[in-house]
Amino acid sequence: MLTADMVHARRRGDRLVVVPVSPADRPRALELATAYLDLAAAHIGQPRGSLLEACRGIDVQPAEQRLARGLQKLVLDRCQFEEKAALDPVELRRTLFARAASARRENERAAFVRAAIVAAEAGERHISGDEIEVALFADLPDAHVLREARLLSPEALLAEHHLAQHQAVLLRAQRVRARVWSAAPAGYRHLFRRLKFLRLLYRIEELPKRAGYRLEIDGPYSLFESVTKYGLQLALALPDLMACDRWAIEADLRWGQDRRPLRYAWHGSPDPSPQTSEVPARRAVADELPDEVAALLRDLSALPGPWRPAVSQAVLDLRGVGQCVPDLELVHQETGQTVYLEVLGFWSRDAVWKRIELARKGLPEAVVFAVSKHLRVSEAALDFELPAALYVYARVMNAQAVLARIEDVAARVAARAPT
Amino acid sequence: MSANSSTSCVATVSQAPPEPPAVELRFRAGTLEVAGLAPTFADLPPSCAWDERTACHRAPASAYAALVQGLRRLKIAYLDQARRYETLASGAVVRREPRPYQSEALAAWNAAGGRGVVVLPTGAGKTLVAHMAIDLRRRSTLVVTPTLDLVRQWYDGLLATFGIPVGIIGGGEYDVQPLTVTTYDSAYLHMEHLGNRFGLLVFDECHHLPGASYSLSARFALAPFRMGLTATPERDAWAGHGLPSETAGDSDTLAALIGPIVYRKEIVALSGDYLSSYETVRVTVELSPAERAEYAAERARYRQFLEANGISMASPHGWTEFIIRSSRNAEGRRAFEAYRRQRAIAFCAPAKLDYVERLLHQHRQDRAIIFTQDNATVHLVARRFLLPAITHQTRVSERSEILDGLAQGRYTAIATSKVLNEGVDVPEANVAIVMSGSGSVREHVQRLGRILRKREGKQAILYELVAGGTSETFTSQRRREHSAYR
Repeated sequence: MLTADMVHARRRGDRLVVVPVSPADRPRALELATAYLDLAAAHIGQPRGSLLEACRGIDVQPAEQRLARGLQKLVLDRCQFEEKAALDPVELRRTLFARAASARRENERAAFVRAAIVAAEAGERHISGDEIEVALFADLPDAHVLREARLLSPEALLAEHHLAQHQAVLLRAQRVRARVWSAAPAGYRHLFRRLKFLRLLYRIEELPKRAGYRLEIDGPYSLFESVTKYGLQLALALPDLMACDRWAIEADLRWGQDRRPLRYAWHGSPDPSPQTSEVPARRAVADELPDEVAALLRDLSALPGPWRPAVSQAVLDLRGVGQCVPDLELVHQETGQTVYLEVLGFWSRDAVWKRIELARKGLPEAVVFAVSKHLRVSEAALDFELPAALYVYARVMNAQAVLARIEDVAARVAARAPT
Repeated sequence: MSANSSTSCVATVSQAPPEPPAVELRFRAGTLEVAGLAPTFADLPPSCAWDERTACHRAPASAYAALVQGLRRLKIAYLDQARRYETLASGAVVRREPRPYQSEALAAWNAAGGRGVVVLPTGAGKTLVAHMAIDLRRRSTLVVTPTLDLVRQWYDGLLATFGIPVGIIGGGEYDVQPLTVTTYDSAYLHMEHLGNRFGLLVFDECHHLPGASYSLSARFALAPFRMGLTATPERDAWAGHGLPSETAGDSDTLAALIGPIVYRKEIVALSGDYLSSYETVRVTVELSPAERAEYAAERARYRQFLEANGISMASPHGWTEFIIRSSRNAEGRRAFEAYRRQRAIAFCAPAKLDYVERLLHQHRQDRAIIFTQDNATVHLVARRFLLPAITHQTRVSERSEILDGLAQGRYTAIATSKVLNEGVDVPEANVAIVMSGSGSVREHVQRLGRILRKREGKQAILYELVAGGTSETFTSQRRREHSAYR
């Protein structure tokens, strides 16, 4: 990852704009990328100091400094160095410096003769004075030897640099607002899991016209003070936001030495705002479902009756308790009633208990959770008066059995409805 | 109390069978969650706010004491799942007789409710005051220090005083014990996970604490008891950039994060009785004609660039401005190179090195610490004079060996840059040679402090080598603006 000072960005009023490599500059950027990659490849077995010295030798114009430093950093991040010395430098220093101190202390009149002390040490070790000089600080980082470099093509390095610039901006972010749309529920599920893993908190709001969700992401302490403490987690979350089919982010930054408050925006194409986005036909995304869910969708579609299944795009949010992201939704053709289905499959028991907690704490939507019997959870774990049910299956989900739970939950909801 | 137990506090007096409290305190990532109260409940301390993201009230962890007191006052029963710190089973196994001012400092801190800053000169025994505080309060304690050298030193001290395992976080180690030592950097990284494990925080060299990042480590901790230790509570934010030194306001922040200054004694008040007597000698070394010519030429090029671009290094943003503008074109890059070169000539002039040679010979029976402004000079000195070097790159085990070697007399001198500026305790060291440094008063006072620890018959001496006719003369004047140098 780049550091914030390696980002090529401009202030435009209260906004920060990352400056990408322009088409005109791209050939030169590729030239620089090639140069750093070639140097790394050529320095395998050489000390880090030599590689850095060679990198400094590349002629870089003042306007290219930041790009060059960034490319160099990304290449160095892909290098593995190791300490390699014939003598143990720490042990050598211990004996040589003790010898020098002793000589100085005992020498009342004569001047301190460095060469004589080095020669005495070398003589005792049966090596040359030059070897002593080389080994003396061989453990300093500059002396470490390049063992391996996981190199990539210059084009891929430029692409990595492009993303790394945006990630590095988020290192100085106090919070991120994002709009995301994902064709497959798994996209949302992955995103929420990652945000939780990164210990970030978020507010979620559904956008009109099924255009996705608006998230406001920061950390627990952000409630009291805008801090950049969560910048690294926000930067790490960027690829997960970008993994959604459509996404746009806006961040509040504290930028530069003076920590000036700025705003920053970036989005995938096209911008998923309600005005511009068009939700693709649902059938088009069925292929992205896990195999077992796709098979269940086919089987449910083949069943006669009023319930019509489709891939769900909903995120069911019980504020303060959690979310669930159903895979399918079944709509009753006559009443319009909707029941959701989330396939938990072989997930952890913990995930099942979290869904049970959601239902118990008042999740208003009707949901059936399909759970493998390997998770050892009884269908009776969910109270029968709630608008939710567990479907425990042995090996593969049975469409008839799922439909029975769907109808059961729908009946409970109908019974709870005010008359 | 077990580290994993929770505390149920039912403040109401009732004959009815006890019910589990509806209100629950939880520690979450440096904050406190208060679950079970209505969003509109308004009687919590002002630092609490309703958090709709998690449907509970939330407060910074540092509000723990006020929050618990508030709930008790309101007679609200609560289940305390937040507190995970222990009462130590036993206190100190070795107790040293404190000096009068150390007892006074502890009493003042205790009278302030176990929160506050103790200001004592380097070498006056601040560590003992902290040991006494741990012994008095007997809570799991985290000591936060600026460097790994100090981590090692506190580790040794706590182990000897309390005789129980001491944990270390930092420098590649992660071992959490009821007594644990860490660095400010590691505390910033880990406090959101560890902030409920300690009831007492000791911030050594606590002038480092104020600031956007480090201060979060104090806010993310729920420790009701806090002690700050420093010789120089005021931060000199502009040190090294030609600007006025001390800034106001940090004491206010320290007061919010730790507590007010509860006790203060200066070097001059303790010198002779409790600290070694000392003298300071400023030595002006002259550059050779060739060096002087080169210095003048490089300095002129650098100054011309500043003037041409209207940059004032006396302004708070002067240095940043110079960095930005000098990176824009070839002329700027040359000016930056000129800046570095003229500094290098002043900081590491051959005449200075020759003088260091003389001093090393003169003090060959003593224990000397050579201070420089940069690591390159440390390694140059180490190579030329065959002296152990300590920089931020030196591993903890080798640092220990070097400091022990200096204490035992295996080495007569060592070279270092800034990492030994603070706190490191080598009572045998009696000579400091400042080859180069910033304009920071704090740095200069701290460097003097390295050689002031009292030993029988010890007379400490600090040499400050200044390249005559260079900007170092002005820098030297600035850093000596302290009573210790008058």
